[in-house]
Amino acid sequence: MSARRPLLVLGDLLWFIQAYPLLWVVRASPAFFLRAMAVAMNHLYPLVRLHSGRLAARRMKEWLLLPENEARPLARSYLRHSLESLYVETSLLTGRDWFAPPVVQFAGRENLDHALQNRRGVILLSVHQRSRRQAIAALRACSHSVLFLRTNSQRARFGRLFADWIVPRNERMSATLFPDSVAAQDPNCTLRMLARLREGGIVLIVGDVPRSPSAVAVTFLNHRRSISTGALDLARLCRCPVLPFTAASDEAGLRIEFGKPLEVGPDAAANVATLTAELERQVKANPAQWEMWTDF
Amino acid sequence: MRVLAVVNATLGTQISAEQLTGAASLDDLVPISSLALVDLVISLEEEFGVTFGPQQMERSFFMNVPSLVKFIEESDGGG
Repeated sequence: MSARRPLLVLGDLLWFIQAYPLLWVVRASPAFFLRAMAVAMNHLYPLVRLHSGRLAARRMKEWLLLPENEARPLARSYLRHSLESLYVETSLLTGRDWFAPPVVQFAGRENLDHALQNRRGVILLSVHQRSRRQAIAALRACSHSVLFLRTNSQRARFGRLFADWIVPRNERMSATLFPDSVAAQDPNCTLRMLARLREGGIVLIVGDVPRSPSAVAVTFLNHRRSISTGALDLARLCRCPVLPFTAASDEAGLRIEFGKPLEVGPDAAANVATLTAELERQVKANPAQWEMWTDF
Repeated sequence: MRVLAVVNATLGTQISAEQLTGAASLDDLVPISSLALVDLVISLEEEFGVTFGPQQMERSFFMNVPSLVKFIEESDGGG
C-alpha cells in the first residue's frame, strides 16, 4: 500500500516561484540584472536543492558504481545543469533571450541526412537530457520538422493541496516550452506521430519514462526500472529508422549528435536489450545532464 | 464486412457485425492501445489502397466503423 502524498512538497514552492515571481522578474528586468541574479543563484541553488543533490549523489554512486569522491562533484554538476535549464526555460517562457544561446555543433549529421532520404521519417531516441529544448530549437532552425512526444505532469510530483491547480498550468507551460509537441496522454498522440513521419519529418521520443503503456521492466543502470519500448514499436509499424540522439552542453556550447540507426528486428527481447543499452550509454556519456536522477 | 475482418485480424479480436451494430464505438467493445491503432490504420490502408490524411488522423474517426467504411467506399477502396 503506497504512502499518501504529503499535503505540500518543496516542488510546489519551486513551481510557484518559477511560474510567478521569477517570470515577472525576468520579463521586467534588464539583462545585466538577470546575469547578476544568476551569479547569486549559482551559490544559493545548491543550498535550496541540498536534499536533491544528496539524493543524486547517492544514486550516482549506486547506479553508476562510482566512488563517493566522484559522485559528489558529479551531483554538484547535475545541480548546476538543473539551474541552467531553469534559465533556458525562463528565456523561452518570457521570450527574453537573456541567457546567451549556445554555439551549436552537430556530429553525425550524415546519419540523419541519410535516414531522412527514405522519406518515411525518422524517430530520434534520447533520454531526458537537460539540453533537449535548445537542441530541438537548433534542429528547427535548420528547417527540420520535429515533433516532440512529451509526458504531461504527474500529479505525484506535487503535494495534495495544490496539485489540481498546478498540474494543468504546468502542462500549459510544457506546451509553451515545446511548441511542436504532443502529450503522451493525448489519445491522438500516435496518429500525430504517424502523420509527421509520413511527411518525412522527425519525431523525438525519450525512452527513459517509467510510466508508459509500453513500459517493460529491465535492469537499467544497475537497478530494476521500467523503460518504454514505444519508440521501437512505432518504428517497426511505420518502417522508419530510429537514431540515437544526444544533446550535451559544455563551455564550448551545445553539441548535438546523431548516431547510426539502431538495429531493430523481429526478436522483441533483443530489441529491448538494444534499447536499454543505448539509453544507458546516453546517460553514462553525460551523467550530470540526465534529468532523472531525482525524478525516478 | 471487409473492414471488420481487417479490424479482427489486426487486433486479434473476434468482433461480430452484430456486436458492432450495437456499439457506439469500437473501443466500447475492446480496448485499443495507441500503437494498436497505428497498426490498424496501416492495415486498413494496405488492404483498401487508401491513404488517411491529416483530417482523418483522430482516434474518434477510426472508432466509428460506419463512417470509416463510408470513407473507404468513397475513396474507391471497397467495403
